[in-house]
Amino acid sequence: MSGATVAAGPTRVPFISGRGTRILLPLLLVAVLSAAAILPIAALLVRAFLDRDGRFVGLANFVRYATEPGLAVAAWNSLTLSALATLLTIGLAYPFAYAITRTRMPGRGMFRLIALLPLLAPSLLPAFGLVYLFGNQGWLRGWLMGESLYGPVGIVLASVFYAFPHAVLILSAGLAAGDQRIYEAARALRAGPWRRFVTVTLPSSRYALISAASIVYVLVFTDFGIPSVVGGSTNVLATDIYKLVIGRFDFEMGAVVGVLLLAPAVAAYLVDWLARRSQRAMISGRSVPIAPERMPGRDLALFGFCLLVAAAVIGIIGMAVYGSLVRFWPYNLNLGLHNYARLLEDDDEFRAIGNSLALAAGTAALGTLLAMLSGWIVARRIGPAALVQGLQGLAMVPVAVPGLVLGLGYVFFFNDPANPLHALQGTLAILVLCTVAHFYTVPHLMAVGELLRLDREIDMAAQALRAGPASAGRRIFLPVLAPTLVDIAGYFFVNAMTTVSALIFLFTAQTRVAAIAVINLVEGSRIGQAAAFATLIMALSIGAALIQISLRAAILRAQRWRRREG
Amino acid sequence: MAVAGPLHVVRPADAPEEGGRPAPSFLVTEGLTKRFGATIVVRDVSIAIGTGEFVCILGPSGCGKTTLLRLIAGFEQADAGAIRQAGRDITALPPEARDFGIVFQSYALFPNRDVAGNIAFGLESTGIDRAARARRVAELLALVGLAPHAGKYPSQLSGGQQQRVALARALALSPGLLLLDEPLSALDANVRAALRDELRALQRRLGVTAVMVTHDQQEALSIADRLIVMRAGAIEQVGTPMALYQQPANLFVARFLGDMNALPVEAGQGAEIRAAGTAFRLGAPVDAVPPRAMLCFRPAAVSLGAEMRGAANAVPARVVSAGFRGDVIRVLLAPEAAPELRIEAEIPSLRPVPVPEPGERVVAGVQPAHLLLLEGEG
Repeated sequence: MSGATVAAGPTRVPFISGRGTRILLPLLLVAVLSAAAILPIAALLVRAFLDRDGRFVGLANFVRYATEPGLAVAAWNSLTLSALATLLTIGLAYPFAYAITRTRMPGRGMFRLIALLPLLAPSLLPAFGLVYLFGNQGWLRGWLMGESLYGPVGIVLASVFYAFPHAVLILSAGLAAGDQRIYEAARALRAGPWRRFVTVTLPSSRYALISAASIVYVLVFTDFGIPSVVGGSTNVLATDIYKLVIGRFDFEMGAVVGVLLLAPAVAAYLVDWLARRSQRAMISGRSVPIAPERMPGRDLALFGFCLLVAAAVIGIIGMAVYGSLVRFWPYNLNLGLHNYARLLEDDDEFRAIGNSLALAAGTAALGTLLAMLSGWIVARRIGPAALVQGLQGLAMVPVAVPGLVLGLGYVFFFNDPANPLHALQGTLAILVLCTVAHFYTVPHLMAVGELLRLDREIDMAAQALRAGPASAGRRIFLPVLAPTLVDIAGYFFVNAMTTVSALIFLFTAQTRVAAIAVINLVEGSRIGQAAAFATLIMALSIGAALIQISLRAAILRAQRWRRREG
Repeated sequence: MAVAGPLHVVRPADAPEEGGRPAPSFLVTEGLTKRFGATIVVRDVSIAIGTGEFVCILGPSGCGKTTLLRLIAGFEQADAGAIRQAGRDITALPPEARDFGIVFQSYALFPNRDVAGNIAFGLESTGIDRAARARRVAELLALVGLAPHAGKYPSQLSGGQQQRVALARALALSPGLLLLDEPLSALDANVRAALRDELRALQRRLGVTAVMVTHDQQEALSIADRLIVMRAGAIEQVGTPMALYQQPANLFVARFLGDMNALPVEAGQGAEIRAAGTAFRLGAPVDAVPPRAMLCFRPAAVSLGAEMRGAANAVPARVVSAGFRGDVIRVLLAPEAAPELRIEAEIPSLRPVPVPEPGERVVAGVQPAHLLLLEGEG
């Protein structure tokens, strides 16, 4: 029996002496996550089966949705356009990810950075770029051969750009993990390059492909920003839910659309989860890392491809930035900060920037605290096993819940005057809570992973040496976990800066954030200012990301113990 | 326990003398039981360990030995039973209120602290002044031979060096009890043997009571004053390494400490036993032959030769196979009167003996004193 065996049952947990604390702490986290994610979603699910007066009506709402003219077409549009965008995204992202992980072409690191750039912008920023390029007064309008950008074309194109970095991240992670020995075995069996690709690379990346496809599908299916800028008269579920709730106050139909958004998302994440599990089983700890070989022909072709993709990404984003600097598109192309000046002069817009920063900071602070706590509870199994597993399960839920669904669930849950948390309604705090919940899964898993890497025996060693929790935290855990803390806080911050969907139902005039202000500007046909605002958000996100990166680097530099030689 | 106390602890009066029996009083467990869910991991364990004694808890993986150690440390709470250390009931105390130092299997060195920082960690919690702390760290560094590496971080050390840091850190607070959880199992064979002897010498010198968990019988036999052999959560036998090796209580203990031949007893009375179609004479007569009794002897107790044919304790057999093992040659034999049975013999390879050929007829002889009558495993 090794010391690493983690025992269930009344094992003493280092630093938590009281039996009460050991139950109360996980219970507290379960309660917070329930209030912030599970109960609002449940409220939405319940609402889909109730009528306006709160009576149970079975599937009547769904029947009404399917039969009322014009409603169901949005579901069809969402399904087909998302499928098309997924196909295109994966078609572009796979060779791109392959090129940056499995070849020796030059500029792999730079291409990777460029591909990830859209992560730092709100989803609708590429939509602005497209408007300036292919819109009714766009430069390259002719390329669409008479088709209008506003509608399916715009939604698919912008979605591909928006989802591309996510697909590249998943696929390149899948492709980077592999076993060089299998390739050596294939060569020893006289398999040529193409045969090695088809018989080894492609099958070994199939789970990453499934993961990427399901994640991309959900991203596109549930995105609100893009169809609201370039959707034109094409209705999709994500914009319909907004129109139904905010425009028609038809909460029943809103709840039905919420369910329709939620179901495919949950299904896709289940697929993704299964795929990841299989992927992990495929890679053993003793694999030899992949060492790509030099193949000038292939590398050159892929370099050209990556150059085109990178040019498109930079072109679209650059076009949005350029458009924001133009005085009056397309009649007066003089450059200047006119649009930015107008934004900053407007009290409402200026406040929105402040709100965004406050939201991002609040989300980073609360989210990091909660994620570290729940990560610690799960990694160290603090409390009864059922409670620990329950907490882990709850933490996995938000990733599968579209922001729009979560936001509408908040409306149903917190609007109820009987809810003791009713007072949160209309405050910035509810936006923080919702954003923390929305992005909770990834940081929680980061915390669990990092704490699992830190041997449990370290806790015991500190305790055996008579260090209390505060002392051990300060002297051991804080320094060791510092880079992870920075990463988690950065993740929450950037996502809070750029998110729209979860907050669209929750903001008030006082708490409106910048990303929502962009939508409002689009609704008011002030595209130039909207592009300026989106650019500003991207700049702030880039700033935050740079701070995160340099802070992390500074910590790593200061912590000499992380270097092997020294 | 004085923190900056002398390193060379004077051996208390009740410490074990060479060859003498230890006074079992320092660490006592009574009826210790621990369950994880429905599984009983430690079952009614009562042991008594004397001051300055080095005790090894030995057993296969999953036998509950690590859990027993963690109960003694306080990382697990017992479901039943009591633990007393130096006369004090510590059953309910949390680890930080007990008096022990511990070396973990993973060493669990703090990765962000250098060697001196790891050793000083426990001292910093006690509030002794900086100069005394530095002196104590220097003493410990010298003790484990790591003075030149004081400023290195764990990731820059070899496995053996990390192990020494863990040991020095565990000894820093001059604990009365040193707990070791498979401390050598992560090391290469050579380093392992050297550190084992060092550990033993150090423990002797400091006079600290030590309890070590291991699954390696060689390690346990060579380091411990006494062994506790465990199986399925319960104690099988307690005794000195020599006693357990020579007089194991049952076949499990016998086989856990080394290879053992076991022939089913066909008939027997007094000192006369029949097994493998051969008459054997025991060193001393037994009152009654236990049910399912096995006649047991170690492979090294077997000598081969044709001259023993017809004598007592001589088994005519055919060589099944013979393998060179370095120091010895392992010969597998099938008794002629019971060809379905197997006897293993170990003959020294340094003596210029011819290696027996498969199929060759030989006679295997065992001295009466080397024969044991043990109850077989169900």
